[in-house]
Amino acid sequence: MTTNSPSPPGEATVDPRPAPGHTGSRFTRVLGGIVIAGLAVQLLLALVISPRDVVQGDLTRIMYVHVPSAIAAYLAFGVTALGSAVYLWKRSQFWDLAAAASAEIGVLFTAMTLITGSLWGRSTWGTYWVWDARLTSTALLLILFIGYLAVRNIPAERHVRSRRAAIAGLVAFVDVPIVHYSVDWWRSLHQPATLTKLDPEIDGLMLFTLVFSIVVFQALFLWLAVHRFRAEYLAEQLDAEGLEDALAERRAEAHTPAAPTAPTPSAPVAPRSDEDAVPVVSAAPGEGSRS
Amino acid sequence: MWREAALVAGKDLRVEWRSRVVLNQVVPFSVVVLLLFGFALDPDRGFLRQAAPGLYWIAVLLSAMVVVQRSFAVETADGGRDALRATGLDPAALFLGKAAATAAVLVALEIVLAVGVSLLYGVDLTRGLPLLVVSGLLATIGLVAPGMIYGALASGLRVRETLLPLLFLPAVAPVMIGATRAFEAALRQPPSMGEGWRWCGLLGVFAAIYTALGLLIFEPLLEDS
Amino acid sequence: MNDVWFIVAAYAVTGTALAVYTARLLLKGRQLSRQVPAGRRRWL
Repeated sequence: MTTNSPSPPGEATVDPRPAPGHTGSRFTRVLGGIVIAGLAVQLLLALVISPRDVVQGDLTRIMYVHVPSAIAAYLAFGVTALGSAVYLWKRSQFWDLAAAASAEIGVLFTAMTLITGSLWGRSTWGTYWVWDARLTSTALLLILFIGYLAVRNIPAERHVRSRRAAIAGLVAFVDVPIVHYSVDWWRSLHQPATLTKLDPEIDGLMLFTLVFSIVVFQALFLWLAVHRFRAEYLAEQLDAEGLEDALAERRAEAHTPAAPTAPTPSAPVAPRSDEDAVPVVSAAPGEGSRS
Repeated sequence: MWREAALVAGKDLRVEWRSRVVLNQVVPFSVVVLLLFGFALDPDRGFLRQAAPGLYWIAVLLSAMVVVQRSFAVETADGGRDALRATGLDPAALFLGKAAATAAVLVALEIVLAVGVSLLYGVDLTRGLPLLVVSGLLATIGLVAPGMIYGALASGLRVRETLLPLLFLPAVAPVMIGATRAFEAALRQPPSMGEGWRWCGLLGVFAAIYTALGLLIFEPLLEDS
Repeated sequence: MNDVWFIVAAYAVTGTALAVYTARLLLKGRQLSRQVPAGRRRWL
């Protein structure tokens, strides 16, 4: 499954189905229906049916969005790391796209985790932010994967972008446990462990609500990831098509010889003056609009 | 592999020595950072002295970023990246060589900064000196190894100047934490060496993981360009 | 401020973020879908 496999020109006309105008499919429609129903039940359970906590009162209800978002974020970054590793190993476009799609949703869920967490913190501890180990390492996690998304959006050729993004994703993933451990150690040395001590005897209905919310959010993640994957895939197909058109146009101009694209290495390893020359990066294919 | 690494390191250091960019630009830059901290925080000596370990490592971190950028600017110029690949050097050796040269430059900078901190902020560095040296060296490796990975990752891209800090700085947060705590422990009155050595353990683990990562990952990283 | 406000805020933030992201994602998908011919859509 190499990255660039243009379909033969005839195929477009042979395929009888009209191109659907969206990224949905039967799978996503069914899954989407389940997610919407699940979210409705989740809201009902979380806000109405589940009982108040003995210690925190109604505030525990924030837990039912906070914890599922956090778990979805971890799942998303796990998929990104897996996709990055498989891409580096097999060069499969599928896993490259999966890593990209999943990382963006992971960043969304991490941001939501931080915001709901700080709202929870403001209402229980009185401040939006404490230098708590988990909060701090989650913030770093967010920035690490914002960095990954930045690599995903670099203006460069697709294989360059994919390769470097895969490496960035892997390195970020390796960094996460070290960051967590070091921040944990730093804070626990200086202040006693604070933070949510959930009642060991958590109410049965509360536990069910939490588990249900977690499952619904993972399904939501999957649904978003499939759509994001397809959008990314279409964007890449569009880029590839644009490139082919440009090449065809250039070939049509028969009098112009094909322009060489690769820069020729001009100097050996020997020491040289240090003027920072502008590197040659072919701009055309990678510049597709990506927001 | 070791010979190739030494070759690369020698070449980088020679480039550095001939151009004197580090001496003429990076050293003054880091000293200015030290002065800026004096402007930002009341130069009341007690306060600066208290914050000295953190300020020192922020100054080192910023200088390290400049040095890493510099190390890859040398390669990117005139397609040096392609030229390096064309020499058929082992990518792992390339990583080690460049890391060694960068670490040497960074250690020199750290010594200058340490002298600056002790003079400007009135910090007595002779206390807990072995701990300072060991944690400083481990932290240097911990900065340089990810620096090489992210430097190579960003090199040759048009957005490299903005991409490198975004990737590099959050990744080395553990080094910042560990090195600052170790220095604090060493400078405390009396020095609490036990705690300091534990932070050295963290720095060592970080350095080892990133060095291993760099050795493994430099090959795919240099494949394109 | 009482607890209810924080709960509402937390659910509103989560809901809005998800709704906006989803809407933008689906719109983007529609936009791209219209531009990519059927022969190039093996994976959809």
